[in-house]
Amino acid sequence: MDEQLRQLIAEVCQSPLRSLKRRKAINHLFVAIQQLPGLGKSSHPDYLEALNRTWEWVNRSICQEFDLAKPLIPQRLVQWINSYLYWRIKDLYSASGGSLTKQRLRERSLDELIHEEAGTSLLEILAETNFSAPTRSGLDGYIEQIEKEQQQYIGLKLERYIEEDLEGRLLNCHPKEHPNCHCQLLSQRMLLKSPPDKLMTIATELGIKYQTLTSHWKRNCLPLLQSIASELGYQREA
Amino acid sequence: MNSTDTPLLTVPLGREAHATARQFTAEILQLVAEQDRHQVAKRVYLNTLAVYAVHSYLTWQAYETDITQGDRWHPVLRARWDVADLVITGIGKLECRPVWEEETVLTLPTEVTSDRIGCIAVQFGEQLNSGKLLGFAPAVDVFNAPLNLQVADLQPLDNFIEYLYRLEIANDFLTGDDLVAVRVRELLETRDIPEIVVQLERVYRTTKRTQWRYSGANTLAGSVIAEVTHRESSVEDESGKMALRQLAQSLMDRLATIWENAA
Repeated sequence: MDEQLRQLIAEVCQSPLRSLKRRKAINHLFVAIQQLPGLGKSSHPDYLEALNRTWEWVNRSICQEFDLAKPLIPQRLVQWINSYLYWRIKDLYSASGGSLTKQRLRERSLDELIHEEAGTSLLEILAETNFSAPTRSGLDGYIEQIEKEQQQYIGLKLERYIEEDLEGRLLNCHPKEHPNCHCQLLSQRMLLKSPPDKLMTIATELGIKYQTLTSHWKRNCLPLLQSIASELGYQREA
Repeated sequence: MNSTDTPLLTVPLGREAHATARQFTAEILQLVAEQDRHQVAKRVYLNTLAVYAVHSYLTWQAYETDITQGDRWHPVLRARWDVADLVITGIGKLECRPVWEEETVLTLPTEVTSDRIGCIAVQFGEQLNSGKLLGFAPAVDVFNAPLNLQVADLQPLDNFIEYLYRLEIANDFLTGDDLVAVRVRELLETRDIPEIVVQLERVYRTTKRTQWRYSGANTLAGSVIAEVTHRESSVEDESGKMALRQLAQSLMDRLATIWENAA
């Protein structure tokens, strides 16, 4: 493992960050590191977020900060990553307003996390706010909860608006030369129809350039539908 | 694919990923017909997790993604369409599909088979606190029907990285000083170069060298096929077509050289 990791890291560091070789090598290094025993695990609410950010940092820092010349590469690599992970969690935790245990955290040393045996970790002690990701079997219940919280409901109103278009806003929105390619027709065929028609099919049928039709749909129809939806009560969540 | 012997890359999905999925789902629920609410909400939630996972991976890899672009960003579209696209800046739209661990086939609905550069499958198990990057499929062709992808046929991430690289260097070429590139740009006018590059790469990968001048010309002409059926063919059209095919041939030859050297 020692030798394999040494080679992988060396390969990663032979090429610049955005190069093809680097990107392929780092794929393999990520997978290899994820298999290493001892990588920090925790039920702290910010743990997953911190771990996610850790991988970006590994790619950007490993060549400058990790000493390949010293022995015990797997062990040191795990330590190096765990200590970063620890500080990331701490940052995220303070940013999200966790303060009660800050003092306690300061008093503990890094080694406690790094030399953590199986069992309750320091980070777990800090898990005060409870974020836990839903599970597959609990997903239906979780989604129902979101449904209950969302009372705004304009799906049918928007459908009716598209069909009726009483003020002609959709009907009158079309490329200059192509009055038949109006937003009402496109909305009916692209949104109300299931499965939707392809823009390519509609373009062929109406004798308009695909490119013209696509940009009309994207630049004019979608924003128009968006503002109609807003007028009907659609709200972007904070 | 060799998922049995090579472990898959795991992407942690934490507070932010789930908050995003929740927010998107709540937004979309407003625009959905009552009988579809639950089904659409579940789909949007999982699609968002898949997109977030791929976005994270690309960030680790120092790619830039723009999560505020793409079909997925339009709530009106997202409420109706089963889309999970992510824009990689300067390269194109990538579809990110959620797959349960026991599933062997993933279906790309009609609405995502036209303008995507390809698809990454993200595998979910019982715990939704992470997703595994299962594999990749490059764009095939403009299909009018849903497309089924066998999980077993998905390619490893290395192929995905190589594919993105091919698109990147072709974009560089087409925005550069080469005479062929300059002529192509004049022809394309305002059309999106990354979009054309994806189509040219597909021509390169899926058609015979002898077909390049025709398929390449069709790509450059964009919708000539759609237009020509409504117009009388004239001598002028014919010579224009010839010139276009010649340009397509030179362009495809240049790109093939660039791609073969990079391989």
